[in-house]
Amino acid sequence: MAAMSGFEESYKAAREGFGLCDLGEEGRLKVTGPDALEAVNALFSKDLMSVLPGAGIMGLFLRDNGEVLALATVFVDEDENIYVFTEADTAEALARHLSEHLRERDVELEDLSETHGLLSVLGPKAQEAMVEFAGEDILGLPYLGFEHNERIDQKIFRMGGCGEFEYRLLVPRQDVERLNEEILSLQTPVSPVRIDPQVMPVLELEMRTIRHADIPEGATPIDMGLHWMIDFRKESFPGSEAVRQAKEAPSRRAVMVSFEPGSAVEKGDELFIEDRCMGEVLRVVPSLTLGRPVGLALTDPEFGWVGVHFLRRSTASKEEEDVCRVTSAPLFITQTALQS
Amino acid sequence: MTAEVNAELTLEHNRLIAARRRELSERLKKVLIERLSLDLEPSEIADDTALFGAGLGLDSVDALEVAIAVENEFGVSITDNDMHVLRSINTILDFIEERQGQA
Repeated sequence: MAAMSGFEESYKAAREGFGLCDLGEEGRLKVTGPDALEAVNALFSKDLMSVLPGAGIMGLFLRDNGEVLALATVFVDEDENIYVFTEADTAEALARHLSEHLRERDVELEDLSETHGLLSVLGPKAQEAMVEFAGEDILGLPYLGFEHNERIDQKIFRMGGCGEFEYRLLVPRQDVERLNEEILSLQTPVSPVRIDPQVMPVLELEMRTIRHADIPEGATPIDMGLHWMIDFRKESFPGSEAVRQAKEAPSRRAVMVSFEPGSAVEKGDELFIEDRCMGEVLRVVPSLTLGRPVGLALTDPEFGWVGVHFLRRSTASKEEEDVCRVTSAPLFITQTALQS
Repeated sequence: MTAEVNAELTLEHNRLIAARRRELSERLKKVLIERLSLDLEPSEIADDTALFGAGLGLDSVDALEVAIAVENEFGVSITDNDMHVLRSINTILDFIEERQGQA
């Protein structure tokens, strides 16, 4: 099997060409049975009953107090079977949560990670590559759509939290290696690259797609700016009352922050205005497109607005400080967006 | 640290920046909710939410309505060449502030 590319080559492929990323660690569950759709819908922050067969929706599984248990993308097929994708960090907790709550419903819960691999074909040239690989029908697959592709006899889910074309193939384990080879051998104008999965969180944060690990204990989806993952008109779901209350008076604001090129900023560094600590850095990544570190920070709600400048102070070395600025997301227009 | 950077780091300066941005944000959200008949309140829209796709779920027809709403409310034109600014509430506000700063 081809060797994995380094960080920079992986990033470049994802932002300028295309590559293949093995997402085998990510969570993937399947819920089937007569009650599947209704049962999962009752636990989800968005309305699954309005999702058309062959489509998906991004949302949250919340605890009763409004805290985020898992961020997930849920797909519904024509037989009302439910596919749930979530991060590696939350896969086990989500499976346990669904198992407990679906116990008395007429459903079966299957952990697909035991039987299926998950491959991502990603980048602005990924759509061209997938046409070559899976046929021209792939052009008709909308964002958050999925299909069983006849040509390669595999399920393909169109996703894209990093702002580029992304096709995820849910593949029986015995086919993973063969499909790896076939995709990496595609004779396309731009050669495919084996993308290091460690580059995915960087690509995602540049588009302000956050991960569960970014959410501090006690922070609500409202604090984190995840309003779009909630259907506030949906009558009831775990945590619904808590998020409705939170949205009226958020106690904090998660914002994207741009740091000086070369800044030694780290997670946990504090943000000041004069002698007032206004927040802290939750995660920082090197944006190769912007040539500077960018990060997610949780701030005082009065000052968490684009244009505000903070003095970042290192928690490791109190003398080390530099200026940073709250900035808009998504941080830049991707090659995929320019093509659309 | 330069005097300009020093000025940017005061509570007073940043309070003004934040208050102006918040006011612009509220105005833009209200105008979009009304113009596009969105079943949302301003407090239910985060400023970095994608306007299209998985965020607010707007489509290309809505894009034209957004451009008209921005021109009517803020006096700033969004031409065909500027449509890339229609990514989130924040990117539209960046454009408005930039154009109003040039006026």
